[in-house]
Amino acid sequence: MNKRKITAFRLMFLLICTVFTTWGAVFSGRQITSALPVFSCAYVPSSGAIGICKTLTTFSLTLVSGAGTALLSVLGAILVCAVGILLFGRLWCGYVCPFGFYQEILSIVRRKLRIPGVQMPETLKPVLRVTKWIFLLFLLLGIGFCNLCPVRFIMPALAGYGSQVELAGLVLTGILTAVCFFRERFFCWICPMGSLMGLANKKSLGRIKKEGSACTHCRVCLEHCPMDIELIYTERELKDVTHSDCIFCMKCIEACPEPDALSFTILNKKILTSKRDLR
Amino acid sequence: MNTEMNNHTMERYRRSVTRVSGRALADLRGISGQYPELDYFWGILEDTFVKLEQTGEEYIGTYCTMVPDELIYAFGYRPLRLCAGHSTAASFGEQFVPRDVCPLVKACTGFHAMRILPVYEQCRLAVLPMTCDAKKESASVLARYLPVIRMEVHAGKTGEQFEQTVEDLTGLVKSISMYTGKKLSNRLLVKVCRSVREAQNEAYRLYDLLAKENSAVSGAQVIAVMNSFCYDRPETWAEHVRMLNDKLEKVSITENGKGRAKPRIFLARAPVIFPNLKLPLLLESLGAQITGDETCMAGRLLYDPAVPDDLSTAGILRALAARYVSACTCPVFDQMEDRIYSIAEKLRVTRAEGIIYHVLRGCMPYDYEYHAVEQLADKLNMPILRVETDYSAEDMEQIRIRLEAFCEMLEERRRQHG
Repeated sequence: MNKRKITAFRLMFLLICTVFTTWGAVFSGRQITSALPVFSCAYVPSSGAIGICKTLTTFSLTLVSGAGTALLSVLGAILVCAVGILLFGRLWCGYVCPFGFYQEILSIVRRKLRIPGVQMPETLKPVLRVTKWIFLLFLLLGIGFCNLCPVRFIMPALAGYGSQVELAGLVLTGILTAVCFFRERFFCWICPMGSLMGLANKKSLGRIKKEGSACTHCRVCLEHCPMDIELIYTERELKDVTHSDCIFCMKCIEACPEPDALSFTILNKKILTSKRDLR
Repeated sequence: MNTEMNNHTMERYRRSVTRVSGRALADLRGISGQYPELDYFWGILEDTFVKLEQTGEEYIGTYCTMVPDELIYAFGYRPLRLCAGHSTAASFGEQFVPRDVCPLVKACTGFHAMRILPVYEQCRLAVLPMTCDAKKESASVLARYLPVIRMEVHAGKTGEQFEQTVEDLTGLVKSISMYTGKKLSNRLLVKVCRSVREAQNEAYRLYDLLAKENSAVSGAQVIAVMNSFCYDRPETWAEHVRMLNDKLEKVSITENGKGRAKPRIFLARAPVIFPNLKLPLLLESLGAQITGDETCMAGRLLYDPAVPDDLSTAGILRALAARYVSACTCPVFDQMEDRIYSIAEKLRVTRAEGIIYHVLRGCMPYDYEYHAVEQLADKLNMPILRVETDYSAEDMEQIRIRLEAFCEMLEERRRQHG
C-alpha cells in the first residue's frame, strides 16, 4: 500500500550484488576478492567475489599448518574484511548478501500470494540469540561448516552448478527455505557472520536515529522489522536506536508515518527520513 | 390514549432532535468563510440529523475508535459511530443510564431508545469495545435494542497484549461472520484499506491547512467535517475533502496574512461531536483560532494509518490492531506517557499558544489526566484552561466569559513577549 521506494532501491542493489557475487567471474574473468563479510559461497565457481566464511572455516587449519605465505594472505583477507565490517556493520546483510537476497525473494513471493507471515515465538527468541553465537564458534573452529551450510546447497544450485548433493544438507536446506518463506530473513537471526558484524553495528558509519517525541507508538516500525527489534518501537529517550541485529533494511523508516520520527544518518548527515507519504 | 400520548411525546422529541441539529448546522453555515465545497459535509449531517433520511443500507454500530471501520466495510456493511453528541438524546437517555454518566453514553442510549434516527434503526448489530466503565456498562443496555458483540480492549500495550488484541480481532471477524452469515472478503478489505488511507491523507492535509497562520478554515468547520466521516463512505468523503483542500490551498495563497494574527488554541481531550459544537464555535466567535485538536471524533479519528506488511487478511488484521489499538491515545490505556508525548508533539506542530482541556461532565478517564497535561503546559510555559461541560446550552454564557478571559490573556502574553 505504501510506495516502497527505499525497498525497491535496496532490492535492486541487492540484485546487482547477487549477480556479481554469483556470476561476476564470467564477466571480470577472475574473483576480485575472497574477503566479503557475506555468504557468497566459495563453491560457486563463477563467483565474482566470495565470502570470508570459507577462509574463516579453514583459518584454524591454516594456523596449525603454519605455512607462511598462506597465513599471510589469509590474514590480509581477514584484515580487509574487518575494515569492511567496522565501516558498515550489518549494512552488508541488507545490501550485499546473496543469501539475504534469496530470502527476500521468498518473502516477495509470499507477499504476492498474500500468505501471512509467521511471528517469531517469544520463547524461541532467546534460543536463537544463543544459537547464532554457537554457530559463530563453529564457523571460527571450522566445525562442520561448509558440509552442512545451507548456503552451499542453495547458491551453487541457483547459479547453475548442482553437483554437490548430500541428503542431510538437502533436508536442512528444504527446512530452512520453508522457514524463510514464512518468516522474512529467518536465517539472518542465526547467521554467524551477522552476529559478528552486529558487534560493529554499535560504531559503524550508518546510524538509525529516532526522534522519540514525534513517535505515536503506532507499532508500524516493529511490525515491519524483519529482525523484530523492539528497541525501535519502545525507545523514547535515546536518539540512536541502531541495534546489533539491525540489517539496515530501512523498512521501519519507510513505513513510519510520522515525519522525521525515524531517520538514517551517515556521519551525522541525514540520508533518509520518515515521511507521511501514504499514497 | 396511552399510545396517542406516547406518539405525541415522540413527535416532540423528533422536533427537538431536528431543531437542535438544525441550529448547529445553521451555526456552521453562519461562520464567515463558507465555501461551496463545505456544503457536501453539511448535507451529510443534515440528512442524518435533520432530514432523518433512510439510506437503505445496513450498518454495524461501533463505539470509540478501536473497532476498525475497514473490517466492517470488508463484510459489506457500513460502520456507524454510535457515540453521539446530541443534547436531546442525552436527556432522553437519562431514563436508562445513570444521570451522572457522561452525556456521550446517555445520548447514544437515548438515540437507541427513541428510535427516531433512521441510521440507528438500520444498525444490524453493534461491536462495542470495552473501554471506559460507562461504555462497558452501556453494552448491556444497548443489548436490549440490538445484538451486541463485546470487543476486549487490553489496558496495556506490551507485545503480549498486542498479540492478544490481534487474536481478539481475529475472533471479532468470526463473531461478525456468525451474526451476519457473511464472509470477510480480502479483496474488499484491501480496497477499503486503500480508501480509508486516501481519506486519512486528505484529513492530514486538512489539519495542516487548519494549523496555518490565520487559516482559511475554522476549527469548528474542520471538526464537523471530520464528524461527517462517520456518516459517509470513505471514498466519497475523501473525494470531497480533496476538493475542499484544493480550494483552501488556493484561498490561503491569496488571502493569507490578512488581518491580525489570532490567538492560537489547541483543543484537547474529550470528543466534540455534532451537534454539540458549542466549544469550538464559542472559541472562534471570540476571535481565537483553533489550530488543531486531538479529540477522538475529529483530530484523532483518522490519525495513524494502517500500514500492513503483507496484504493477506491476517497481515492486515495485525496492521489494523496496531493502528486502532496500539496508537490509540484514549485514557483507558494504562500508560499516560504516550498521551502526553502526543499532545506535546501536536502542540509543537500546530504552534499553539494555549490549550483548552475539554472534559465532558461525568467522564472520569479524561478528567484524571488533567493534572499531567497541566504539568506539561507548565513545562512548555503555556496557559491551559479546563472546561467541563455537557451537551446542554445552559452554561454557554459562563463558558463564554471564561474563554473570553483566556483569549484576552493569550493576546496579552503575545504583546508582552512580542
